[in-house]
Amino acid sequence: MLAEYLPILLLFLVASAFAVGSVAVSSLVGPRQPNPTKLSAYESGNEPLADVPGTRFSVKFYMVAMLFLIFDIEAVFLYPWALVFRELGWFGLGQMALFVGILGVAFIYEIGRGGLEWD
Amino acid sequence: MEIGYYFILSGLMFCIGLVGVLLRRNAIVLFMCVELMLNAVNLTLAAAARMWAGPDGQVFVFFVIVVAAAEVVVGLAIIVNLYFRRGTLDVDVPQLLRW
Amino acid sequence: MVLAQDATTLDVPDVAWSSFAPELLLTAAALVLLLVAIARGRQLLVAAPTGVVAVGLGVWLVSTDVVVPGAVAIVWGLALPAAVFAFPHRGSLVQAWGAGVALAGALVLTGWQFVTVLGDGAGGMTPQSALAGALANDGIAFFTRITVYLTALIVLPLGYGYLRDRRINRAEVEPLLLLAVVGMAALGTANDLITLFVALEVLSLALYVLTGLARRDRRSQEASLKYFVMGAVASAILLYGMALMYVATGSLSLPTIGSVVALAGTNQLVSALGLALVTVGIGFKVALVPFHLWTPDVYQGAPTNITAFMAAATKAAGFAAVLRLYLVAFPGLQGLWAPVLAVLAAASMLYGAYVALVQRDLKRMLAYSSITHAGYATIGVVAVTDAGLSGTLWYLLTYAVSTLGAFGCVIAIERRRRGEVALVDLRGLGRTSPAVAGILALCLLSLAGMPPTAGFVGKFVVFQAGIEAGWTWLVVIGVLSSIVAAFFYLRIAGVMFLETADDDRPLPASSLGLTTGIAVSATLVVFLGVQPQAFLHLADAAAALVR
Repeated sequence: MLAEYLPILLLFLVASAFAVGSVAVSSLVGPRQPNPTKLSAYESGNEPLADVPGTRFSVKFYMVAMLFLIFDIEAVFLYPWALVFRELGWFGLGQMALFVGILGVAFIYEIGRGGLEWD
Repeated sequence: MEIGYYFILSGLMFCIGLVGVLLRRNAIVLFMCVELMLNAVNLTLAAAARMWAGPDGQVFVFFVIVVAAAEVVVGLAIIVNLYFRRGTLDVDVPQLLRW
Repeated sequence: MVLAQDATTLDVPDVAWSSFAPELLLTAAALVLLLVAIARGRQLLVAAPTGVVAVGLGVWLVSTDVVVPGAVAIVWGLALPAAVFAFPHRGSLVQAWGAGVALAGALVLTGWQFVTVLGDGAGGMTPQSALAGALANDGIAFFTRITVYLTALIVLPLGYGYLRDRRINRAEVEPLLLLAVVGMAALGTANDLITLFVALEVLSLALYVLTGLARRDRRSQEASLKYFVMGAVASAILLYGMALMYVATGSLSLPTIGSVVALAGTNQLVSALGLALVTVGIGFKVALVPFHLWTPDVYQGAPTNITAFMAAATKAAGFAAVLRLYLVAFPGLQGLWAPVLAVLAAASMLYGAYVALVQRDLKRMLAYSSITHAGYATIGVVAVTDAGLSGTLWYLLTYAVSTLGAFGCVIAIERRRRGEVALVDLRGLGRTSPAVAGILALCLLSLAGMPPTAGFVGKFVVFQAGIEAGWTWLVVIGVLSSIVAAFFYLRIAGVMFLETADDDRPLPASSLGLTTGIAVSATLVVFLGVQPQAFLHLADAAAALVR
């Protein structure tokens, strides 16, 4: 048993060495000659007019993505439940109602705070 | 024993994620590295559940996935707020508190 | 046809709701308060139906002879609409009262659990396992609940005026605080790895947000980001350790892991690797020395009442997990982890005490002090005896009340200073406001472990357990570090009482909530120091674990 897991340990070391090594080598050996052209916008891209820190980017997309992520992932618990829905009967239904109810509170809160208002 | 390969792969993933966390300074990249570590754990758990022929590990994976999503959302909220305040994603830049 | 088959009923698990009744109440309260938070002018729309449902549930419970939880439900159901009526235009007071009554109810329910289930009538405890082994209602769970609920109940009034002064009294504070409390209590109860992990994440996620509560304060934001990054990495490492334990043993239940790990056939390399990773991860959470890096920054940057809560409650919950992991799941590997934890404890005690010496900021100094105290509490863990276990539980309670009192005084001073509290700000405080200075000195003495205070009894019990278990060198280091700490705390007392005040320094603020919170913690510091017998007896009884 012991010997079988030795490769794991070795690979831990190799992986660490590889990751550290490649970053170290690239930072040591890699040529660094920044010039204005390299830093400018790619091909025919427009020069950004203002490059101030704190430039607003639209937070709407991010908000929606975040909310989607939460509710999408929570749904993962529905699949195993759906598989044994019949066998669990009323007990399972009650528990799932509790779970969905808690999600519902989060959803109502989110609407109340204006999380779904696009404008 | 071919199940060992899964453990090796997940060990590698975990190490890459860990090294990334230690070396990278961009908050988003840091984040991705943490996710990599969590997914390495998921792989380990799924393989081990197969090895032990029981559902425990698979159930754990579900919980890890959900918790990881919640963690991402909270973390992104913190990062976005910080970005609006100071305009950079570099976790090392302004140091009001000594690190 | 699959659909036409007779549905075979699975074994429906028996849900013993009473085994997590306090957490149930707090979760429900947190959800309702979230709804109240968005109701703005129409709070009664939420409060009235909630009250009706809660009172109805309570009456039903009482009619089925479950009197105490029924009464708690009725009281909370009446308190919420009452608070809405009493404070029509002050939403944050409604939130605070709703959360406070729920926390008091949770304390009552914890006592009820003790009387009906845990206690055996003779002062001992009968540990219970619930939810198919996922929860363990035993001494660790009982003590963690008491400590955490008490801490949160004191932090609520402490922080109310402070948050209002800083204009960060958002309605989400109380629900998040309650959720963090639920996570902590669940962490003390968790008896399998899934419950343990979920509880840890619930409390961590709530605390990340609470740390970054001051959205316009860059220090708070920075603290939040650091806490989050470090915490997420620590969680991942801990999780990998747990996964490796599962690989090695094939079980997620802590007692089963404990019995399998000791078997000869179990893969020692994998379980040792898992143990190492778990130690790193949990070391982060309780801030033992090589893994303490986040502590000073986070404690300094977070709003002070949140810092107080983190210091007192998170430590208690984290050590509950430490105790359960090492004493229930890993006793078979004791030869591996006991020396490592002992070295970490020694390093924490020495490093924390010496670095605290050179701090100028009071919150940062208390952060290093919390690192030191993590070291002391670990002595009880490495003792691996019943005395050590009850010693650590008791120590965490005494540390919680002392540190709450100290942070309460910091809040009082900070509210007028509008910013950080440096040591020079304390000059002459003994003349200008003797009450705050006196209580701060008392709490610092308790943190240093001076005789008539709770901290002394705590240290005494832990050191005694350490010596009995043969860790003399560790206890010697503990005493040395206490001496260093005592010197430093006495210097602060000197600054407060011997130096003269600068004229332009404003007096500490006081408000009803702040005064109450500080007074309660100071009373507990003295009471637990003078009359520790009753609680010590409880702590001794708490050494019965679900194994």
